[in-house]
Amino acid sequence: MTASTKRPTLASVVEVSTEVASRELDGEMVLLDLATGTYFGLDHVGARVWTLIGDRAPLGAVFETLLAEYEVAPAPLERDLLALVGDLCTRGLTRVVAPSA
Amino acid sequence: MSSRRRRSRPGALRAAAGLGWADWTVVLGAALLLPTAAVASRCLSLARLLRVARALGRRRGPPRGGPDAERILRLVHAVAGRCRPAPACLARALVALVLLRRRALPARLILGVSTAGGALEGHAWVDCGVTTVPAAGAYAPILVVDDRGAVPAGSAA
Repeated sequence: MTASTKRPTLASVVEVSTEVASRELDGEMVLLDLATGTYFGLDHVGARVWTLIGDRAPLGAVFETLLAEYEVAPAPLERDLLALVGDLCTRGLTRVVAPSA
Repeated sequence: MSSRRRRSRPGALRAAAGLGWADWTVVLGAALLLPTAAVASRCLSLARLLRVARALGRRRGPPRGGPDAERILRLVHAVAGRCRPAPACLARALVALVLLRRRALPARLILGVSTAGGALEGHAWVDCGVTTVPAAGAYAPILVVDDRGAVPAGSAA
């Protein structure tokens, strides 16, 4: 199993695919996948996650940042963050570049 | 005494009669490329499609005489309007980009999106500085294809 197909964990570093263009519109993030020509939309929390991932921060650091910025319990935040990033990886929009711990 | 009634020509013929040789090269180019672009846009990835369009639209020396950028865009738009099935905006924009750049006329292909109504709606158009075809409308640019290749809209000069 390669790093790109691994399920992300908080120890993972994720990078955005070079075939994805993105733009923030009214607080939301619009993604254009050049491989498929498909547009995707992320709400304002997803947009924040996308921005943090774009800085190539480890997901643990993304988690800590979101925990500080939003009133949310750690467990559901971790679950939702990993689910979102896993979904982005499944769709080929991001990939895990550093192996999970 | 003979009574001759002059028939008025249909709009398409009237328009065709006003075309010069250089216009016809654009019309014929568009008529050939539009169906090809429509099929290619279904078969190739968007990234590959944009690379092919840039390669086909390689400039061929300094600008020659002939129709200006705005006229080329309008001719492509007019030809596309007579194609069946009507080519999508991406095919129109790709063909316009190729025809403009082959004549060394500056042009950018822009991919944008509208979020009006809560749904994402993509659109493609060509900007040659004086006009855009198809119309850009209320679409926000996401990606710009210019001399540098495909670059995010925010970093486009």
